[in-house]
Amino acid sequence: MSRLRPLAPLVASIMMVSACTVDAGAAGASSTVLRIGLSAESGALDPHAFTGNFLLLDAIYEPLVTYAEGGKLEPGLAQSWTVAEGGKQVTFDLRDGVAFSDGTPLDSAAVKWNFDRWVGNKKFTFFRASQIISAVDTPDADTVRLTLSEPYEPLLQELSIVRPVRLLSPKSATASGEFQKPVGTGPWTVESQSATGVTLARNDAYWGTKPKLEKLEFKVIPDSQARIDALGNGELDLIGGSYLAPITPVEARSLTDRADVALLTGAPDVSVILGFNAKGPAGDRAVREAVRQAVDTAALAKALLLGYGEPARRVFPPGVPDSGTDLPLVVDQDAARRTLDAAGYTPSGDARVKDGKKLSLKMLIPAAPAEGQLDPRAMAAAIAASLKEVGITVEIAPVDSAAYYDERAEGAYDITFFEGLGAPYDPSGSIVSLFTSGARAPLWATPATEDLVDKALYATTPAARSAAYQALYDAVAADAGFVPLVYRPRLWAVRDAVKGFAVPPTDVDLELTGVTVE
Amino acid sequence: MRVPDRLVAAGGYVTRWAADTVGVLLAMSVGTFALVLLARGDPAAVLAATRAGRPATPEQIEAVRVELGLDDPAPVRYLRWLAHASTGDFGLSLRTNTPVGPEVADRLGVTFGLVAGSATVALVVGLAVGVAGAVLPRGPLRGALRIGALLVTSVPAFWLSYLLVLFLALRLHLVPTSGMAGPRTWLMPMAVLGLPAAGVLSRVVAVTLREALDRPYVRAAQARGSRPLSIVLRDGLPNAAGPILSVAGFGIGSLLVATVVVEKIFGWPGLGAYFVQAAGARDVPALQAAVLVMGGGFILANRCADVLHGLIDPRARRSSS
Repeated sequence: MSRLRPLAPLVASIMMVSACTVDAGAAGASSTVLRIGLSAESGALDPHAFTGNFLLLDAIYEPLVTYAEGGKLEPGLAQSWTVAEGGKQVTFDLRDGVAFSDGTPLDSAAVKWNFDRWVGNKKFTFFRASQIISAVDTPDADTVRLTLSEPYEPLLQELSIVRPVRLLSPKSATASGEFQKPVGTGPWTVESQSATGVTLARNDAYWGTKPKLEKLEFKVIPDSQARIDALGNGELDLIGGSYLAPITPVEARSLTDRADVALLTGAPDVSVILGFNAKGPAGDRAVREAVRQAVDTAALAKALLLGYGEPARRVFPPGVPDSGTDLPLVVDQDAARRTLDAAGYTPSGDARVKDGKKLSLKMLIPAAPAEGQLDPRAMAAAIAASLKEVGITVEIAPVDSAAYYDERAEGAYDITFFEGLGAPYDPSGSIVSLFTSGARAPLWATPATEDLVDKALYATTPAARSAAYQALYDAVAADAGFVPLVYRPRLWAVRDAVKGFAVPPTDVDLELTGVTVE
Repeated sequence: MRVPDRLVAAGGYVTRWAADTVGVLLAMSVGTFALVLLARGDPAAVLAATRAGRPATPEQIEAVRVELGLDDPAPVRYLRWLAHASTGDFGLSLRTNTPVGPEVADRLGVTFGLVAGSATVALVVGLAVGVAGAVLPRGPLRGALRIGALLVTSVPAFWLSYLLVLFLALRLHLVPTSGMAGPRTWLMPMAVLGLPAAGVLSRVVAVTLREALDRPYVRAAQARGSRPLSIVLRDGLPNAAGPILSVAGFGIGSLLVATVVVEKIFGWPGLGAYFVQAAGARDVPALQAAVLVMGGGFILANRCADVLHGLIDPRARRSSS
């Protein structure tokens, strides 16, 4: 017996693991449960914290204002609102008869309690509404009045984002304000949560249209190929979206062979953009102009997006509000050569030389793609090949993704990639970070663009706002300050057994009300 | 009262070993800290961006830096961490803002189960194939075992994983593609981790055992008429224990490293996956705890192999005291 002793902890540990886990049946979908892939752990399901998965929070918690298709703002928990005092006061009329899933009524006191958790708090400076609201008043149980320190038109759109504006039951925090458990007003409630997944149950007391499904099972599968396999094998019903279980175009292509899986694409909300550093060779407008003329974005879209996306013609895709009109971007490599010739860059072998210096651009890229994103190496190689055709040498500099954003902020590049933030933040969220010099890593910032950003943000009428946005895009285009490359595709894949699923308006939403599983 | 000599020796051995271990762990924590500094990538920037769900402005990053005390000089931060860690307080994760200690403990349970199961696969398969390789006559079967061992040792873990998923899950539908829910889901991750270690182990077992079986005492046992199985178990393996155990101890360390890949592919929320997330966010407290636990596990596995060797082989006991 003594010889076996060393094995005892081993046996015990195996038994321990088996005791901790539940044997879930592999196949055999039930008609009331939808199984959804999740690329990372759900995080804290506290709407006022920073780690919770957007879509899970969206399923549990609701906003006062809802972001609908095309950026339309619709009533959420507020059934109507009025703007007064020249835009410095917004009054919300709360929906009647709504309660949190623990029975606490949704009244103005509950809304104020929520707002007090983030209004004026320095941790939330990332959205301006948190700093600009100077008072939250509750004239009666049905009414919430926000007073702003200055008029701020994007306020309503910012109130539709997920963290931290969604409403938590005041009873689910301790007296000292510490988060206890996830309780919201939304169509789903949390049944269980662990490192391997989350199960949501239908909120049978939901005020709106109740979902047909009874349960949502989110399974954490960090590896993207493994999620594709799980979907193909019938262990998952739904994957996709930037924040849920991202799919790359290559993986999407591999799914088209499967007879029982449908691939869905949503209207894109992000443009991938090539930006320039004005300090260095790209400070010469002729160089930027030549790059813009030389990069074949249609070929790039075809090669990288495999038919799932379009070449970009705008700073924000057409589905984003105030995205303006398509910029006149024509690919013409001969024109690029002429531009460089005229600016004094003379051909010398494969390259070009001006004043004895070779024209060479350092292209900074993240060494590995972010989850579900286009591979920056492939994109960089394709762009470098286009530019080589006209005599511009590109030196590709891959760095670790955590270091990438630091190096970009320090300007350690001649050309690199930029992106918008996507719905529901854009366009107001991105123009500050892309076009003002106070941002950490602006795409293109000049006194003129900063002036136009201010005009766009503080415009008082929709027409003036649209005009200011268009003027901003035109100003950057006139500087040849960027090259819109492609619209990032929004890909989702769903098993044919799932009926009634449509790609949600934004990748932070999960709209499953009418969905059933056969 | 006189303490027996043997106890004094054992006490000295334990003290020396503990001092060695603490020294190695300290060096590891300095190394981890320094590597994160050298790797660039600003944890405050990563965290500020995580909070916003998008790139942060310089003021937001500065605010996070001050909030977390990341604006102090590096040596101050390290010593502050060390002072807390020495009391068992590993601090808050920068990424999740929750205590690192309990998080790592949860994940350690998962990884420990995975490593224990994989080590079982490695030991059982490695010993069986190794013994077969030693006692089988030279021929096609022995050659096949050797080539098989070489193959599973040479393929990278991620490739072996996808291969198993392709055949066992997608073609044959024997097991689910991923997850951590019951014995059927343990098979693939434990095989992916265990088989390469089994491959190495089987070669060491085969070679050292064949050598041991050539010794005069084995011929004497054969002459006494002992049965072949008993000769392998009683005369062969114990005498070949040294190299086998040190390879096994080292192999468990390598298993720990490979969990990083396997846990991601099969969706096991273990220490390896945690380490990768922490590294991406430059989450120093989480990285430190994960590295210390993994390093401690590695040292412990090797030390266990030494002690076991001493128990099995008296010569090793004499030489080490």
